[in-house]
Amino acid sequence: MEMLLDALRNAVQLIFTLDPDVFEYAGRSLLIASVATLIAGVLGIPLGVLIAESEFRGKRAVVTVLNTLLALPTVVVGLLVYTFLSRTGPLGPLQLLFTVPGIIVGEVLLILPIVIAFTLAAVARTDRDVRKTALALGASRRQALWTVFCESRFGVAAAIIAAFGRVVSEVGVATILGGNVDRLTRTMTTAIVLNVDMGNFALGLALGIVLLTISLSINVLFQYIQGGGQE
Amino acid sequence: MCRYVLQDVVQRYRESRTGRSVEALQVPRLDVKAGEILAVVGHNGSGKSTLLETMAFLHKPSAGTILLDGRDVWAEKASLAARRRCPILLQRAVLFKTTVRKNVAYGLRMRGLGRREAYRRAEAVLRLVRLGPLAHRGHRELSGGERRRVALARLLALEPEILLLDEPTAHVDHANEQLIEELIRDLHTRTDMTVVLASHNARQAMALADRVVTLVDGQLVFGTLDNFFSGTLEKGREGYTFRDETGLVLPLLPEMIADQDETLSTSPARWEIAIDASRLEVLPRGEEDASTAGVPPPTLFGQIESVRQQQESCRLRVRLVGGQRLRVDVAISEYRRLGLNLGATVGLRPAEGAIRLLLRTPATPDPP
Repeated sequence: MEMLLDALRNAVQLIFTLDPDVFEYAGRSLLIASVATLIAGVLGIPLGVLIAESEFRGKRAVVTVLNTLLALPTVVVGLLVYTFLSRTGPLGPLQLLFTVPGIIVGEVLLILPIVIAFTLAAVARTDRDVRKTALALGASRRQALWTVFCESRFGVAAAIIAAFGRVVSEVGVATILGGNVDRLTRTMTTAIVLNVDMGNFALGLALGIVLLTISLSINVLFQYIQGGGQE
Repeated sequence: MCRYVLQDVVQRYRESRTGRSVEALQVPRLDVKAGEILAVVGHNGSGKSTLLETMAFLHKPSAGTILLDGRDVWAEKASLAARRRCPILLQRAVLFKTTVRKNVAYGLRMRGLGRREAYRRAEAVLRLVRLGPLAHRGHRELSGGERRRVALARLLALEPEILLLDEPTAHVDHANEQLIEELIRDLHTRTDMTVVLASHNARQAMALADRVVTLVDGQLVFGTLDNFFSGTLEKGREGYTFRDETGLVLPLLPEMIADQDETLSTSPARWEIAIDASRLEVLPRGEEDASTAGVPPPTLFGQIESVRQQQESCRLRVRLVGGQRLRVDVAISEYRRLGLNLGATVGLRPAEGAIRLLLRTPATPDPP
């Protein structure tokens, strides 16, 4: 117990003295999460809206696959992308392995199903009559689709926040594709694992507190947005 | 001039469970004249919404043509322009998750109107539907009747020439129902817009419409009909009596029934009937007192409320003693011979074959 209290005291001290390591890892994690979420949002939101609003053969199968991908283990994604990015892999010449962009590629693949599936669910949950009402008031097909998207905005925002939360707290992809290289690819989660292995609990705990603070902020934002949707 | 002509329009859909193709609507011919109010009546599930949504160009018909001012909209691939001319108040019109004002301005914004002008027009229309003070309220802060009025205001802001209203007073209280009906009547009088409204409420159809058509299981029956009533039959000593929900009492004699194959009975819970406007005999008040033996007396009494001259006849609107309205077509010569005029009290007698029995609702209602 005393060890835990000591570690906690040191962790708070590290945070309040603006320890450069803590802020470097936190900054990198936030950068990776932001860029990956942005890319996944740009790709995933239109796909989710399109799948929700179109009727095609095999739609149910697509939804089932997407829901299955939600539970994809991060190490499996990391391993899969590793085979593509490794020197002998098809994308080897791009030299993305053990770089921040390499981690971002893996994270995008990890969260893309989350963004698509959550957007799809949000749009599908939006009243089917929204689209018909928009058309009835003279909206073009494209304007009606945009209206449906706007009406699902709280659900879509929740999808983005969930995706961001998944990336920022993720360790498998970051370890396999980033290699945990100091000053280059080390993130909060990989740093925690390393510091715990080295017995440096204070730094591990400080990073843990920062990570928890970020998670808490995300959850508060999530609740706030969901509350907006119910108004 | 005909605003709409529907010719052999069929609407089919595929049942998801069985994969079977089901015919939801069949309209051999329906003309809607410019400036008239046409009511489409029928039970829930009879195809009223399908007909109105087809007329709003929300669905392409499976077969047949729809001419709007003489132009085949679907053949000319002009459905967006047609949709913008014929906005529809859907039965389940939803309000968007924003303020009342933005909801009303939506259609104008979709047509490219600037935000400021759209809001100005939206506020003007909100005042018209007596919701001016609610312009900045959220969509959730409205009662059912207010929501329906906002949905109607959204259409009126577009200043349409054609207005399609699917159950305009669905799920609203009596006060809002009256307000909405008053609005429709006033607007029609002021702007002469063409209105097609679907309703399961015979009273509303009769009160608002110039003409009523009936849908039974997706099929438009008997072309056009006037004087539509919904009520029950009672058996007395001298035959059957029809009573509607507004208190209309009409003795039904077998010779009055147009389709002699139909047999009267009290067993169905509700009957819906239509009285042919051209088969109502008019007797000035006083003359019926002098009716000689053998000539049946009039069965209904009322006062001429309006007279509209048509080609060779006059269309009278007679307000009955109980407040119900009947349309009666009288030849101009007959109108003159009888010395009729506005405000005159008359007796009415359905002639042979004047009454059509339309729908019989079973005693046990269908599950929703």
